[in-house]
Amino acid sequence: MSIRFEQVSKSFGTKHVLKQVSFKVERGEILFILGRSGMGKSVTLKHIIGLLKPDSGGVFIDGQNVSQLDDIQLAKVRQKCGMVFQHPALLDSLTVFENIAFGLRTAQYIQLIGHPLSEDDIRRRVCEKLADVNLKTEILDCLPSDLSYGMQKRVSLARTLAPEPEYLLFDEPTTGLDPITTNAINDLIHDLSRKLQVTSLVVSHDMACALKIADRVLVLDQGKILAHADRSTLKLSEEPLIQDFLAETLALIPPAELDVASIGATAP
Amino acid sequence: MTEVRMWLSIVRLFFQTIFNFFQPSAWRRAEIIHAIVQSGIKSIPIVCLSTAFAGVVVTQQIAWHMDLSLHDVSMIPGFTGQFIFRELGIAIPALLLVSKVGASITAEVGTMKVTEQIDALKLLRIDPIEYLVFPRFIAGIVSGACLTLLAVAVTLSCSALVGILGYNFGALEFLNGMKHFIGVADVVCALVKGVTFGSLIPIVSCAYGFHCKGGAQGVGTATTQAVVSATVAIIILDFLITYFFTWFL
Ligand SMILES: Nc1ncnc2c1ncn2[C@@H]1O[C@H](COP(=O)(O)OP(=O)(O)OP(=O)(O)O)[C@@H](O)[C@H]1O
Ligand SMILES: [Mg+2]
Repeated sequence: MSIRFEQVSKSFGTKHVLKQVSFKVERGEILFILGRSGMGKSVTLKHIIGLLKPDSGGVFIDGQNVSQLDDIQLAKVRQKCGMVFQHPALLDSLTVFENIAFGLRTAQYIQLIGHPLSEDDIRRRVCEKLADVNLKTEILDCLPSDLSYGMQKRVSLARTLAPEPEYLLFDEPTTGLDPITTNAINDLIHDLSRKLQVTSLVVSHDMACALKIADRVLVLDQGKILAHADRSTLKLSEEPLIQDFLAETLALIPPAELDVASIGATAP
Repeated sequence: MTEVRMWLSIVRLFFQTIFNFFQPSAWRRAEIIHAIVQSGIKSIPIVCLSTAFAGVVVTQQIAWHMDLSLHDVSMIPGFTGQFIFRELGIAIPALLLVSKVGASITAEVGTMKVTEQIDALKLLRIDPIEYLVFPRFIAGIVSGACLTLLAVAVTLSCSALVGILGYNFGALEFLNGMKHFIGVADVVCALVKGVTFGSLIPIVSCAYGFHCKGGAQGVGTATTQAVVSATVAIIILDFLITYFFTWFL
């Protein structure tokens, strides 16, 4: 039950985005991926669900090499994974309800749980996930274009959570959200991994949050892994980039909050 | 070089779409009907308006020249009829569809691509070709055929109107004059062209949409390129199909 990158390299044309990247995430862990813009964080996540294929090396999920799977096996792997894309990526032509319910109606999901969900069950599940991301049920019949960016982003989160996947990939889940919602979502990620043993990979710029909920932190730069550290050892790192990231964060957060992983965060 | 690669991927997309014919799950009624409304029914007014004026202009030009050089206008129905059936009544709706339907498809699919909606579809285990291209492809075939017939009918009627009002033809006389020059092959040719162009537009547009890169600017560039490519392709195919029908049938 793990995700493993082995010597993964990927280039687009002459641009080498990933250079022999290796790392591993175990079941129930939360791994944060930090890095400057354009350093291949989104590209890394897309490799896990086979949206991109490595030029060399392999991405393994539960021991299976993702790039060597046939369509049926790949569909099974994707069934296990949920991804929150950097863009909200909601289907424009469907309502919020239909968007969130989409994953509950696919043939693979029905096969997985053994029977189709009744309309009542679907509605209940959709409302539950909507509440998890701090949204009201009034927006269920809206089209995505009627919502603000932050709301769309949260609907996208709810859509990903609805089929209750084992692996969750978050591409900047809280970018562009207010601090209260950001806290709520970080708590949600933390709860999922602790209570349901969901494995989470979180791409983020938010060092403060990484220091709060991450089990491990990985810093990508220039296609390489610059640092791969536990939350506690990260602060001891001598890397200038990490120091910069930390300096930004430390300026904003009172030291007391950094030492203890204060979850169930106090809303500011 | 990039154009060659683009056309290769257009051809590949064409075959991948064709493959969906045998996939029962691809026949999503609601989506296909929606696409027919978008590409076909909503194009009826503009197609009628443009082809009506084209019919008037062309008939008047042909008549004026015949009158001037041959001092005889009896051939107007035959000439205009053939010209309308072979080219005018077909090229105009096709080019209108490129700019109206093709551009909007590229913009829509391109936006879906750059906002990761296509990736989201794949993750939801939906084949983007089956979900996005196939309904538009079927709609393109249906609307291509129907709009072509409609356009030909409108153009012919307006042409006849010019003949009747401006050159003292009787209505029956005008129609009979046309009948001599137009055969079954012309009708088949018109339909073949309508279906070809109607199916080409969504494929080219979707292919450019799928290859979109960057943000809003990328969508804009792709839309322009799709319109240009589809227009050129239609003009070349028009020539080839006409050539084939003229010499081999
Ligand atoms: N499909 C693609 N085709 C070509 N180049 C790509 C593609 N996807 C990503 N890239 C390039 O790979 C590089 C890394 O992109 P990526 O989206 O992973 O960055 P990122 O680390 O997620 O940055 P950000 O924080 O801005 O989201 C970028 O330079 C981008 O231009
Ligand atoms: Mg990114």
